[in-house]
Amino acid sequence: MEFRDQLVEQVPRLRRYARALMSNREHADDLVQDTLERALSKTEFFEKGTDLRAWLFTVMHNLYVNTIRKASMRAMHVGIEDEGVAERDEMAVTPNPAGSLELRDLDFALQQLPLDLREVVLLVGLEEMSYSDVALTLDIPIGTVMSRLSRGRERLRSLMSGKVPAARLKVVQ
Amino acid sequence: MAPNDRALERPLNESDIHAYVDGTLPDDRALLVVDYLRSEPGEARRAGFYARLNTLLREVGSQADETGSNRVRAQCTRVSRARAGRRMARAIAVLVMALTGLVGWIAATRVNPEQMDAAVTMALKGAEGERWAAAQTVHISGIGAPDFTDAGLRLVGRRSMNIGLFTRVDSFIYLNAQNEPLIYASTLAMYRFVRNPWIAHRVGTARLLTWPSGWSRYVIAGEARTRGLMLAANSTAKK
Repeated sequence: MEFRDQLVEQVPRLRRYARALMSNREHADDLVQDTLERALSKTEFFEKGTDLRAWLFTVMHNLYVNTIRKASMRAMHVGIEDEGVAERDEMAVTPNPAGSLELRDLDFALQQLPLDLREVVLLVGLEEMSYSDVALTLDIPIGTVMSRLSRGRERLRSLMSGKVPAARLKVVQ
Repeated sequence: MAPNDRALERPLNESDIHAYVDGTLPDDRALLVVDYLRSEPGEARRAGFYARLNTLLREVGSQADETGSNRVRAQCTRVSRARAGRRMARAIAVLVMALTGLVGWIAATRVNPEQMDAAVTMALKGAEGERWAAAQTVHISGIGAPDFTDAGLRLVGRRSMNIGLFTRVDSFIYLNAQNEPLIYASTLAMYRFVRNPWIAHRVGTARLLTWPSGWSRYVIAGEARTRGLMLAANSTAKK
């Protein structure tokens, strides 16, 4: 199978991961396109016979981290419309409103997680990657994977149960 | 101690909980986790949330529609075509460079008509300064020295002149019955020619008869009054 066809096969996985990673659907699709473009231009770096999915996720991770880094350096102002609030489809009526609410809560909570925790939770929970594959993809020790997974899941549990500790107000004298 | 016993010896830790939830814990360890969760309801609720979290995440993932896939496929096609275009451009650039090099080499190794005329004229003047009265016909091996016996000429010598770094003009010296020298020379041309009749032109007191044929240009030179000049040029037309 041609390499290009193998890449296209991975598109659904890349898209669902990117959309879970980023709240904005268009940004997520842009990230997927950038990932594929980078992969097509760097085919010489992919070793045949190895896990293409893991390689692609590594490419996407590196691209996303660079995007975040550049955005923070530019101190980019993100307008409300860029947050994809309209994507949340507030008025939609679904067959399972409770389930839909739960998914929206999850989506919102995920975006509250720091990126390093969010990535690990998604790669394990959404992509069902092994811990060792996650370590390779993110280029971190497996112990760090377990630590971030534990902290990420526990943080989500706190957020979704509404038990996030209240911010402490400074006492102004 | 068997490997399973060693696995059971190690106390349960946080990683075991997560591995159990993710379905990657070996069975013997998983049994320990189950026993632990039965005895700790709070931990059981926590593990239950993690399992539910995985389910929700996969539900979120399954809702990603396919409408963007066509756009992505089109992007793949565009990128592939762009890469193919760049490869083609590189190949064309290499070809152009190779052709330029070839043309340059051809230009550097070919003698133009003016250079040829000058070289032959110099050879003629050199030959005129020599004493040929007693010169015998010589036999020069190799190709390039035509037989002008029918024109009354005999071959008596050979000269080679370097023109530029890569080019050289080889000329042959003939004498007529009056021991007057004639020069015959040929060189590679830039183009391929159909055999044309010779053209005569004067360079000082010398007369040069030139003609192209195939990939070569030919010159026969002698003083304007030298007998056998035109006979020699005409004899080459018959060959």
